[in-house]
Amino acid sequence: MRKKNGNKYRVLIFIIGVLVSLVILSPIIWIILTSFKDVKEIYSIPLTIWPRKFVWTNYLAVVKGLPEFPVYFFNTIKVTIGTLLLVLPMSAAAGYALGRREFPGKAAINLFIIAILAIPYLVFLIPLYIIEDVLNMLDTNIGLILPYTALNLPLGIMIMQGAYREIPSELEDSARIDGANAFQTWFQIMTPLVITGLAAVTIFTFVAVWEEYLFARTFMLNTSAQTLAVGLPSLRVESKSWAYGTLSAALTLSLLPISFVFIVLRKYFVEGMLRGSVKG
Amino acid sequence: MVKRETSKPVVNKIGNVYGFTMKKRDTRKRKHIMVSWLFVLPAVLFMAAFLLYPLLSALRISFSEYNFVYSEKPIFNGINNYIQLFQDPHFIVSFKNTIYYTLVFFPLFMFVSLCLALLLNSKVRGNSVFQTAILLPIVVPLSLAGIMFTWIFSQDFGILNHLLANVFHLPQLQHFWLGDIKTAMNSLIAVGLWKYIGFGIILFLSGLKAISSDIYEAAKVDGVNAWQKLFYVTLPNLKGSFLLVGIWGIIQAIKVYDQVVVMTNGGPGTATSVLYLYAWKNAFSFFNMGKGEAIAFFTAVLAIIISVIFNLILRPEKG
Repeated sequence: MRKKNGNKYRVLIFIIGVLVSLVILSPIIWIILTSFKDVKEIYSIPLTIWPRKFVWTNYLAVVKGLPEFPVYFFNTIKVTIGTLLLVLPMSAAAGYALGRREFPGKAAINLFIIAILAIPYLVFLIPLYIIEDVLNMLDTNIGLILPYTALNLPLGIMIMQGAYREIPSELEDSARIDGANAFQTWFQIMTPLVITGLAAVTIFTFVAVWEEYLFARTFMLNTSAQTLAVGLPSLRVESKSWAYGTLSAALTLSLLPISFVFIVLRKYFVEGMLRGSVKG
Repeated sequence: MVKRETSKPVVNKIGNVYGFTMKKRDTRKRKHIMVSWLFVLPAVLFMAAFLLYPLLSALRISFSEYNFVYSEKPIFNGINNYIQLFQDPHFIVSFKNTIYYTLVFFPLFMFVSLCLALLLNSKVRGNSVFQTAILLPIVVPLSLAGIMFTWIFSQDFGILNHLLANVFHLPQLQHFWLGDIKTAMNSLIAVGLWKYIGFGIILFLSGLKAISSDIYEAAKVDGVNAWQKLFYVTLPNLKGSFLLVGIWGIIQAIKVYDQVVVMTNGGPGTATSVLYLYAWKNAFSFFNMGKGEAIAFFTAVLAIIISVIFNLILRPEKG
């Protein structure tokens, strides 16, 4: 009797799980379904939810008729990879020293990182704009990579610091006794043990850069330098002919890489969220 | 005494291993400090150049008259920018709108994510699939979510109005969601909730998993019912998660910006003008950097004060 009740409960939870997932995913599903509809069907009333016929025309329209799309796409990729290449080694190195070594100034650095995490990005926007204007970095990829690196470093250092601290100290001691210097100990002995921490930093930085809007909108005024998060909305504003069909295909394409990375690294995202106690 | 006898040979042993004597200890220590700093130096320099310097510069700008187009340099004008803020009706409206957004967003965010986390906190088939699905909106840039929802909320070809009229047979609920002062802000809040609810659920779920099963066993022995279990066992043990989710949710609400720009840009009228948006407009549409930065610091202080209050209320007891 009892077991039966338990099973019923499980089925109920399962159904709720499916419903909640569907409700939350419904806007994305709607966009994806629309992207496969014929343009006439998109504007027919009453609206259809399931496409009467699946067509690729909207995707072809993006690939052939929307030269801005690949520009936005590759800018986003370049900026994301550039930021990762800077954030990962710097947060690993700093996280190691802060997590495993004692030295004067350590407390001050940690205090600064925590203080920065509490300050909204908006505060940094105006001075960074002025700096980039002086250095001619507006409308360049590097003009986004540098501020994004700075903004993502504090969380990255926090996550890596926690990851290094969890390694038992015997490993480090034996490496030292074997004659490894500090750099070797860090890079060859300790870092392979914090891969999950690095994965967490990767997914966090990836998502943060991919979706960043405030800085990208302010610093990148020229189409040639814009990222997807800024470019697609601006395209929509610029031309009225920007139809829902092309739009839904472009949105679907722009969500593909990030969704893939996210699904692969989801576990570490949750871990990093708890470790860094999260900053938006 | 015994301690000293045993510890002495150990010191010697280590001394032999490292091959240094007492005299070399100072240089060794100095080297240790130097190497430590080499590890942190790239990150520290980077943060100094792109965070610390801008922060100080921002503070100076907020106390200056500085028009980016006309002024050569920021001219110190004390707390003038801050005084002007409170005489500016548009600022007051933006402040009120941000508070409204927070007051609606925050309780819904907490309540819905807690309820869903409680429901999903069981070993059910497909749980990891549900979690991925629920978290997926996190990767949708808020600005792109803004495009999606502008369309979903649109009057003629919007799926929401279509569903209300043709599927649920409630045509009287059809609405021009973003064009009406009464519903524009709530529509933006819905987008924010959609995007962020997954964060709340996952954080609460990890909090729930961390509660030891011993406590539940003990409660079972005491014969508590399901509601008592929830209110006297589960929720008090979730304080840490409440703190985490709460502060996070409040900060997300105060810094609302992306979907506002894409969906309404503050309109209709000033109905959805929020602090971030008004700061941006002051700095980059009117080039009044001083005033823009003053709003930015006002927002920062607001976020910090609310976080601290929340922290004081919910701080987990020590020990």
